[in-house]
Amino acid sequence: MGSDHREYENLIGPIEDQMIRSVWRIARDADDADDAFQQALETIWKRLERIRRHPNPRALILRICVNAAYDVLRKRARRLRREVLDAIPDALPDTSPSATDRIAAREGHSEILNAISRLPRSQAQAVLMRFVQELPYCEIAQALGCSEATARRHIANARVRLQEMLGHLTARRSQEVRES
Amino acid sequence: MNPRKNMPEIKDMPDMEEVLRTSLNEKVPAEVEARLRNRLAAFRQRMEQQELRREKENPIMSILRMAYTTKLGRLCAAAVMLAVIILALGLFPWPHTSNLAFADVVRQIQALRTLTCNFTGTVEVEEGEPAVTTKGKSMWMTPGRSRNEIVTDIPEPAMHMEMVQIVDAVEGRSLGLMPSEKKAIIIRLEGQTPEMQRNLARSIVDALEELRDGTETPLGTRDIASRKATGFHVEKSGVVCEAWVDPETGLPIEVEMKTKMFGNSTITYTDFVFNPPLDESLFSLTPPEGYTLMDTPKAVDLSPPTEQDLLAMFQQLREVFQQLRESGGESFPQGLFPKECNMNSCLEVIKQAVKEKEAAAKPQEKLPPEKVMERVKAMTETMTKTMMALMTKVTRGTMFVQTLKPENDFHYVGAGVRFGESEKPVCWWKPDGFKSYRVIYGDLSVRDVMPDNLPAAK
Repeated sequence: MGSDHREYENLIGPIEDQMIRSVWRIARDADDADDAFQQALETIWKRLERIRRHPNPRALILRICVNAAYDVLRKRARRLRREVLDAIPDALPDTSPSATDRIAAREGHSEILNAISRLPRSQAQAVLMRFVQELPYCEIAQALGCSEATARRHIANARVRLQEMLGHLTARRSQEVRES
Repeated sequence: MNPRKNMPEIKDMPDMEEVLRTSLNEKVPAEVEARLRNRLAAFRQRMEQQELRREKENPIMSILRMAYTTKLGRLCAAAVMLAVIILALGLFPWPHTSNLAFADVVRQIQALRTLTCNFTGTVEVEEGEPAVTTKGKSMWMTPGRSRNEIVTDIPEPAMHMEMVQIVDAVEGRSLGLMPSEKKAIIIRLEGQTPEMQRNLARSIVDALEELRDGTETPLGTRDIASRKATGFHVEKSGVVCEAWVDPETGLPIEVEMKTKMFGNSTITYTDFVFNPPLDESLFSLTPPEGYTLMDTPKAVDLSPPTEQDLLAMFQQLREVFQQLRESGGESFPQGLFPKECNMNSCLEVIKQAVKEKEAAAKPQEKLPPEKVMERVKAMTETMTKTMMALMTKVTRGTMFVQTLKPENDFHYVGAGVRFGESEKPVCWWKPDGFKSYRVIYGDLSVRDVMPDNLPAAK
């Protein structure tokens, strides 16, 4: 095999599955996942030089995937909010995030994703890399270009915010566990 | 507001992690996976095509493009060039052809076993741009060993480069060290002359004395570090040399060399110490512990240059122009031969061609300095290797011309001739013992021509 196959095999080959899984698990929609994946690959292409020199190129690639999917997520959340407002033009009694979230939550897990989309970018990326890609803290830190302590803090802060937004889910889960 | 202030204890939210894990753990549907894998396949193809294109492009082109068309690229290339010039002086001592004039000096020089000096250098790449500075120490030890410690600083944004080069002409190897990156490079040397193997320290001093061949201009006397020194000024092969020597011994006190190889370069050698004690370990060719070996380039040929080296120099220039044409389309003109047959003119003609090509090309995205810096750092290894290769060919080609004697009747008429012009002569000379002349034409063909049929005679 010539050297022409080496770079793809080194950089992308071992994490193909992780890239696909992470984008799908965040986007949860075939078209959105496709858009996010295309965007991620375009970013990887543009930053190939930097990726090659990164201390952990694969972690950086996974971060780019998470970031692209996160952007899709935020776009979708904004679109949903606009749809809510358009659907109830006369009433307008309650346009608070909780109302839009409830509508967003009509589809499966979108409530959680919607909550993540409300997190600051670094926190959202850290949470997604941790819980979707299951990366260890040291790799999350390398991908984000911060210390491991900072990566841990991003996740701890994100958990606090998510607890505030999704507390009812954890309460329900606790009850389910107790009942079983 | 401190977000940690109201942070609940972890024990208050034991299920959040589980909720996230279970909610975000859905299997990828087969049709989605197929779509995304198609995207990956296209991406893989794109990467492979780019790599193929990169393999086709001569690394010299990417280096030259950066060196001549971005400010930082120019500065970094200047730094590398300074190092290469200093190393080249170590690898290629000045031509050694005539005998010394002063018997009393001969005795001192023959007793010379070690020699050290300091040097400082600057390169002004473009007028108005900050200069690249370099400083360091050169050491020579008999037989045939030298060591150069070179520190180079690039301004705005600041970049510091260190390099150590050890040459052992007897062993036939040179070791280059980059301490900041812990990288080492070993180059095999071929064709060393017995003179280089015997006494490198002496040959440096001899060569300085040989510069006084009657074409020099006396500069009078002056005091340097409380010592009386007599000076002379001489210009050879595009290098302007101002040397100050001890009037009694002829040994150097200060030597300044100026070239326009890459902007205005000045290198000044001072603090010469003759026969200082030097530790053998300074000239060890074993890389220190912790260093990684860089890709080894081809061997450097130190044998006396021949006609083939002159042709190889022109071929190298032609190759650069061919690369420019291949990447710039047929509309890009064939390159011109240098105005004169020396290193300055060779580098000048490349510089002009690369600049013209870039000016005609579609404007590219202008990179901020830190990006250029990243790219240059990543290319340092290739740049050093490429510049060394280019400089070696140009040095050997021009050295061949320098070794020709007046009776060889060398003429260069390449100014204005384009590569490929088969009927236009570029240069000619009469080899020792021959009646006919060797003539090189614009297509790099070489013909034997009798004196009556020489192009100038027509």
